[in-house]
Amino acid sequence: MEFQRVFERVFAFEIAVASVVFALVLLGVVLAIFLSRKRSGDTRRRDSNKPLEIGYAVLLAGVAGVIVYVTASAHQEVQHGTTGYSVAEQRGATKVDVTAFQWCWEFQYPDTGRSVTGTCRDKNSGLPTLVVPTGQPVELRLRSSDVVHALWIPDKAIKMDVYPHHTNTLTVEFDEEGRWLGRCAEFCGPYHPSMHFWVRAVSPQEFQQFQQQGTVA
Amino acid sequence: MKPALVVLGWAGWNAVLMLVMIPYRENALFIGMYALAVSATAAAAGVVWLYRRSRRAEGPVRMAANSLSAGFLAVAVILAGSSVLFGQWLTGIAFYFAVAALLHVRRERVPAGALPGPTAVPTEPGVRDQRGVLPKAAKAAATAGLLTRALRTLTGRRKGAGR
Amino acid sequence: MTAELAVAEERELPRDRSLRSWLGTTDHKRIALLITAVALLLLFVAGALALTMRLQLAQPDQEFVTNDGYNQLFTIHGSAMIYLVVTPLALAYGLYLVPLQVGAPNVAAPRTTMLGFWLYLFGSVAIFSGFLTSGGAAKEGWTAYTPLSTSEYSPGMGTDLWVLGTFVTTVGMILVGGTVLWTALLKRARGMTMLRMPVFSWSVVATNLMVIAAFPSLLFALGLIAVGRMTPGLFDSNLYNIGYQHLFWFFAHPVVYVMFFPFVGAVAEVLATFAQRRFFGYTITVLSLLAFAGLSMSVWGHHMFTTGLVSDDYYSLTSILLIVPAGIEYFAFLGTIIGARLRFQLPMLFALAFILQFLVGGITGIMVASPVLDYQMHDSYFVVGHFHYTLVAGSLFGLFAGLYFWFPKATGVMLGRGLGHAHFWLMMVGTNVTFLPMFWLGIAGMPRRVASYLPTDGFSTFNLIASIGAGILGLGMLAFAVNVVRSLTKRKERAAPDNPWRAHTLEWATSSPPPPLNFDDKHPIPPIRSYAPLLDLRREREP
Repeated sequence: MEFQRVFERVFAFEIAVASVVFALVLLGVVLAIFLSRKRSGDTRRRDSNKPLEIGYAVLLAGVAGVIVYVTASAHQEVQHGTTGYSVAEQRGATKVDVTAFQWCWEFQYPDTGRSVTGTCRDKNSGLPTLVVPTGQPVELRLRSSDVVHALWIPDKAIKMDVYPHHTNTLTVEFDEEGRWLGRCAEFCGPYHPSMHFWVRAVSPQEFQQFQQQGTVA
Repeated sequence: MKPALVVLGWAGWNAVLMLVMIPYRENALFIGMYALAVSATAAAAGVVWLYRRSRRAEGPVRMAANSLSAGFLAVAVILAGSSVLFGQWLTGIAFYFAVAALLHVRRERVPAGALPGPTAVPTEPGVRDQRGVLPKAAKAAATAGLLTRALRTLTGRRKGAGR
Repeated sequence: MTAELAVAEERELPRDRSLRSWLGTTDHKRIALLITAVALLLLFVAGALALTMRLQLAQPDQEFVTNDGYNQLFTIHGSAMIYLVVTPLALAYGLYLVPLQVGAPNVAAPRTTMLGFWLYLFGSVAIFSGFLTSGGAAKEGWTAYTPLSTSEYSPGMGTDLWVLGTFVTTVGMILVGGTVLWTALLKRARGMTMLRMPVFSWSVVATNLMVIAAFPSLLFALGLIAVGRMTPGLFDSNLYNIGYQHLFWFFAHPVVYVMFFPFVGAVAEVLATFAQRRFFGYTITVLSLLAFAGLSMSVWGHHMFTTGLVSDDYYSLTSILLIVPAGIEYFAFLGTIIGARLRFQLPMLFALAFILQFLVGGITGIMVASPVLDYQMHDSYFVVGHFHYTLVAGSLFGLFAGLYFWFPKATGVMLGRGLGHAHFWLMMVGTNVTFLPMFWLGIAGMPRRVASYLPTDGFSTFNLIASIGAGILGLGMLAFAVNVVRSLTKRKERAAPDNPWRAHTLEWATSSPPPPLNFDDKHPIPPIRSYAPLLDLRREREP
């Protein structure tokens, strides 16, 4: 799953940078505490070091530049291509109209007119299941019928807001079969905490069967 | 460094950041929103500059001796706001508080003979006058070179201000 | 409250201590103390709301409070902390100290400042009085996204009062910030050039620039909600929904820095004082504060990456560029303390903890500024952990560094050391135990603003740890409250000298507490030749 791979890669990179920065500052503080125990008095009278300061600022700008480059290019990967947050109308994509409402989800398959919905009751009962084929692009067209919601599949690092009177479209692809929990991430009222759904990725054959019969084996 | 220049320089830095939005194709409405804030800040710089120019800053310190009018005015404001929720009749009461504020303002002047003594003790006679520093910079403020100029001012003045 | 403040007054001089004199005061110090007293009181109230939430989340699937009740708790906790506690405290610190630090007898236009206090007070009352209405207080989060906050989805007086209270409070804050900015720019003593202002005063200048540039945007956003609550059809065009978010975050990102900058300044003063040297890298720090404040105006869209409707790359760029000014500040901090003879008194402990803890908030901030990471972390507990690290582990520690530092100046009383240490250590442990697990919760998939979770979610252990931490944090705050009350009742034994810490800036040249007009014949303004005039004086006398 592209989104998740990119997330993990960039996250590892930023954790590494963050660890180095934290270690350096920690070292500085520990050093200051350690040095202040020395017997001799503080002899420094210098309160500024222009070349050092400017050099350091340039170094910081360089670090910032690298991080900007890494994240911006990673962002391109999840925005464009065969799948991504800005991708629509891919050839052979299975289209799903996702409607979020207070407080559950409805998944409609315009190709067959099939629709799945649920009640999203307490303790994950009555959750609707979004059935998708593996190895094929799936175009999710998100729309809300009331307030702002957000579709979030934590295990796949996918999140996009769902608006009323506006459709957000993204194309995803699942490369393995399985079942994951989806959540509403944008606070939407009293039953926001139980507004979950299942995502189930099945083989294309099983998906065909689902399209025809409305059930999955 | 002139105070007006600090504010204007800050507005200029924001203007630069705002202009960078254009190649990123942000919605013009929201670039406009930023532009509005930038112009408000630039206007504030103008007010600071005008105030300094009017030399009022050098007059004797005049201070109100009481601030109850502010309390009355605030009650009027909150009542007027609540009237939207609880009924228009509250505006009537708000009106009386506004009047009370207006009447009280007149009594808040420092009574004669009770003027505060000189408090800003002159500290350093030889200090360089802040006035007249960089008058041209202020005029050329809208130009793109403003930021570098402000930077140079900062570093340049530092030598005089240093220990 | 008033009694507590009244004893904070001068020992010797026949000063008017009546309630009437407080309510009609034109003294910037008294106005600042009024704001501080109300805000500290509300800090405890908002903290109690947070403890109730942590109690509810300690175990999975609890029904200690209802969903509706929980939503009120987090809405009012967030609103109170941001609109009514940390922002007012940040501005009140500036209001108290800037006139002293720049050698001015008072704030410019004290009646306007006092109007700001009253509006803040009445706004706070309005927001909290929502709890007394039949439908309860506001419950759409401190962000109050439309159309959830319209009368169609959130009917009831609670939200109306929230809109009114937030609006009025914000107007008050603009007035306070504006007058303090005016003071720093135009009311400085002779010899106090812009580049001789202490770092704290500069941080307040940067803060108040953001206040005047960004806060009006919230007024427009609240106006939009108000119109939407009267004409629900307004948000049928999604432009208004996204427009609301723009207006809101254009205020709400800079406000985070408003709640942070004065405490950076406070930490800078504390570090220089307890390192017993001049603050290192003054000029570049001042420049970076201004650049920092400017950048903070341009990053608001990073709260909206997942909307699919903003130019993510721009906001990501400006957000990541914040590394530069923030890094320079850290450089100056470390340059000030490394190699110096440090004194580890209470303000210094808080300041050192601030350096390391805020860093965690800062670097996780860079993470959520990367769109690819934010798509996963947005609206999750990772973000909750991140902003609590900036605001509690960062701002509150800076606030307490400043509070222990300036309390003797403002009240003439030293705060107790024993309880102070208890406060520091409990708060330090409690903060990290509470907020560190939240990063893992977020990555594991826990959304924010949920009243409960299931045992099958796998969130139970970390939530329990966080709740225990919150209890420790609460104990620390209790120690602080006891310390303040006890110290104020022992005025005689704990009387503070004029400059108990051997600090460097002008406020320490006057008496503790300062006379009504800050400096008088007995306490004249010393010569000002740099941003550390008292240090200069000391070096002249004892070379």
